[in-house]
Amino acid sequence: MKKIIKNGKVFDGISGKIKQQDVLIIDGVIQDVGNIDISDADIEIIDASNYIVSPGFIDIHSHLREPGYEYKETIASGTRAASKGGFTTICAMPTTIPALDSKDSIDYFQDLCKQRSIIKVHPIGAVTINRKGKEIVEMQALADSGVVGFSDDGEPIHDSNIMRMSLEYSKMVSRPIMNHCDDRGINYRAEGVMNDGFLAQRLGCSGIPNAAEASMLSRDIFLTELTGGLYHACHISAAQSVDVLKIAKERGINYSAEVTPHHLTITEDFILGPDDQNREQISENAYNTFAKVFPPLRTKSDIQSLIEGINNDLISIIATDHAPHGYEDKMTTFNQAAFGISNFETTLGSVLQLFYSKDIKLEKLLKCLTSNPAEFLGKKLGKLTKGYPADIVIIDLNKEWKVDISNFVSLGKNSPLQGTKFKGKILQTFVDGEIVYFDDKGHNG
Amino acid sequence: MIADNKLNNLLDIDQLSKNDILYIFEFAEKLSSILNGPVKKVPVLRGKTVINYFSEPSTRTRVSFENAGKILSADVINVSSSGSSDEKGESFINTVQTLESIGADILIIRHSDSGAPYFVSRNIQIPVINAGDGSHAHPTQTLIDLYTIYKSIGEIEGLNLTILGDNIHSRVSRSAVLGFSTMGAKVTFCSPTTMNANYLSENDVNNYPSITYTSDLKDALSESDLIMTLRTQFERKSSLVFPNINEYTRMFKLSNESLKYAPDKAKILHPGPMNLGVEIDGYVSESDRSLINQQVMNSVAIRMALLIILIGEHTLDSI
Amino acid sequence: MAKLIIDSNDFSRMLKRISHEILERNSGPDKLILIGMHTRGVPLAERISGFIENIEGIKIPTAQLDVSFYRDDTDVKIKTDISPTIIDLNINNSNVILIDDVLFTGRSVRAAMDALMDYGRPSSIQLSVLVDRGHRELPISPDYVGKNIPTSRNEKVNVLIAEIDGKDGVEIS
Repeated sequence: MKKIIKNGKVFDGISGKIKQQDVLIIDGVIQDVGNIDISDADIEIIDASNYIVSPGFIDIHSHLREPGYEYKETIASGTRAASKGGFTTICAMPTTIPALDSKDSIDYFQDLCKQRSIIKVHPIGAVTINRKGKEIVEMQALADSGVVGFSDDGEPIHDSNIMRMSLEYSKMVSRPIMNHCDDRGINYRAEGVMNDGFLAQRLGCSGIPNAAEASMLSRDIFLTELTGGLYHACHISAAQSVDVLKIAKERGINYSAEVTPHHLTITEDFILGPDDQNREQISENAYNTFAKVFPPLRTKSDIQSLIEGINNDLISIIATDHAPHGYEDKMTTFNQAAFGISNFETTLGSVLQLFYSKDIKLEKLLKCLTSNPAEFLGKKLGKLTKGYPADIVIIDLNKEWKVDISNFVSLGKNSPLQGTKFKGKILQTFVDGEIVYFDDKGHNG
Repeated sequence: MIADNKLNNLLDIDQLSKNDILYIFEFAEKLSSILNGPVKKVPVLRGKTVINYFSEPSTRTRVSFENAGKILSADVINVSSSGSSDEKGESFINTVQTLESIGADILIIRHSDSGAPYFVSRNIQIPVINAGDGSHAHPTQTLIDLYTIYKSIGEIEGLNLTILGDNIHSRVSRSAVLGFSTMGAKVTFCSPTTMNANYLSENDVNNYPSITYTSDLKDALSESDLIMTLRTQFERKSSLVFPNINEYTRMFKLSNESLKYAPDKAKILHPGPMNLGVEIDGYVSESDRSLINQQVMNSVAIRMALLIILIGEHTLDSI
Repeated sequence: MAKLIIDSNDFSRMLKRISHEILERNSGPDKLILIGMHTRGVPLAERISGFIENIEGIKIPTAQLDVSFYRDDTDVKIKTDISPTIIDLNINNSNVILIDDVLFTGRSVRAAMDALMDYGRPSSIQLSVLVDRGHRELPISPDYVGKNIPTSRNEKVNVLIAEIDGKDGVEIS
């Protein structure tokens, strides 16, 4: 099978630039990138004039919910949604039933993916059995089964001993420990449900302070220094956390860190409702559970720090933390609603807002979605160059569209972005040269 | 807002302007005469169904609303539940929507989760009155408190209100800040640092009242015209915020001793129920500076006024 | 715009006549109670009581009635300046004379009767009005009328009473 993507503005993930080029694909592998003159009769020509051609996006943090929570999402619906969002590889957190904490559960999961997934999926193993934080799993066995990292995501690794031990172990198994930083002991008053601050007290809700994330991150960073282990910080949200990473970098401590599209673009004000962006009056639309997420949405100044974190290479990865939920999980009081945002399909639109506002360069955003996560995974992905798999997305940077959740492919309709106007859309997604998503509505999205 | 009939629920007191609040006072005053008559019943809300949905136990608020509805000849139904998602059977929103379909004309909701009445209100068509949600708001209590002051002192503008006690957990405190500020009073929080709503008192937010904070009882009381003591609980998780009751009472209890720091004319309020001996002494609550009894007596008239404003067809000719 | 159709002298004569009629029909002042309705029924009741005292030398007890919360016509706003219902008397087994200034649709009187029933069980209720302007919507008729004044629906009949308006009279506008 020969294909050529012609005349696109190609971001190859190597030169750091976007250049008009062609991409030649043979049997699912990239053969050549450059100005290619080819006149084979049996070649399929894909015209990408005026569009961006990028390596397919790689998401190292998402929740597929199958097995165990199929009413929230399945491997089929989740990977289809991901492909619509331009993702060609995703990593699934072990928040399943059974948890991905044993060779058997991992093998089972991989089997399901082979049958049901339309893109590449890698499992992340739990750090502790059933994510209870007490006993470490058989890490080598899980690594051999294909896990790309270890995380108890959804739960922090509270026990410092366990954290230290798993970091030591990580060197042997060559897989990073990915921590969901949240020191729950800090919330002595009640379990927090949103960012700690004026709005939380105004709404009478218990807050999760920036300090809860930064303090555990701090501990983790210095344990990483102590052990030399492989550490990854999940979903950074607080300005203070970015400062901790700055210290880590200055001390030459090796780590990686990710941030979500929502933490980069929306604030806690979304809890007041999709349209009420002011704090002057709390209307009937307040306590919007679609804006309930962990870590919580925070403030403009946190967003500013996170943007600086990306620009200064303190945070190198954008990961979705796609967390789909069922109707009843969110159709309840704010305290009782589940945490999480379904965002495979809105990620590109969200992060491009930062490009249009000139906060982050397009090349940097694409790098955070492609070659950086590929490097984290240690896999031959995320670049458009000879020998790499043809995992490719074609993006119309100028296409304007409006978020309509009823059109979501994901079973999770829990997004706070209903009605948001975005500029920039995925047109086609290829995995190993085969098309897995095609925006057939053309220019009406 | 009330004058042009735009009020269709009462979720918090910030929906009401000063004029709206005065209108409610007039209405309540008018309704008080029924409470003094021989037969405490008028047909104003005959045929209307009022449902009290209380997922937190409450005697005074619920009975007060129930009485208000019954005096007005409404059919009052009490529904209680634990309100948690662990309860077997219908979900909270399904239950509420069922009550609406069964024929409720208005729902009066008390829930331990902040924001629950907002969630309900946007998912049903009938009016909702918030009878207390989590730590967020208790608008009817504030109306009762304001009315009590209005009847006893008169003008609320310019008065200094000290809210004493567990401010961070208190929905009464939150609504009082909004309601008393709307009427022109100045608010001070007096509480231990661990019980202070620090973001609210340090605030530099535009449309939110400016609140002074002190942990010194003497300082707070010395300028107070009104002292609102909050119920301070040591049974639940909040007991972690203070070493023990003894230290609390020594520093913050309103007793005959500590009351000496306040001007003679200062009046005392308490939303109830009181923890006698903890935040307030029996001598103080029974003293002639205490308006606590009046608060209770005024509660029915205010709630009657609200019911008529929201689901009755009678309006006052003033304002 | 307003036309005076009863002046203060005729006003006084009407009230005296009504007072005599009440006494005649009830064979004297025994068991009579005068209850004034709305704003202006109250001073009217006082005056009638005064005239009866002049005639019979006996003071008939009076009381006042506010029917706001018994009304069924909701386009009428509840007045806030009226004092509340004060009936300290026992109305059981008495002949209650309900007194109002103008009888129109009859709805106020119906509401007044409901309100009275909550106060006790009178032997009879009789209705005395200064002006009957027609346009009844309920089967209510007065026992004592000052004057029948046919009006069109959108005309306004104003009874003026010295205690409230500074002078006595009846106007139409």
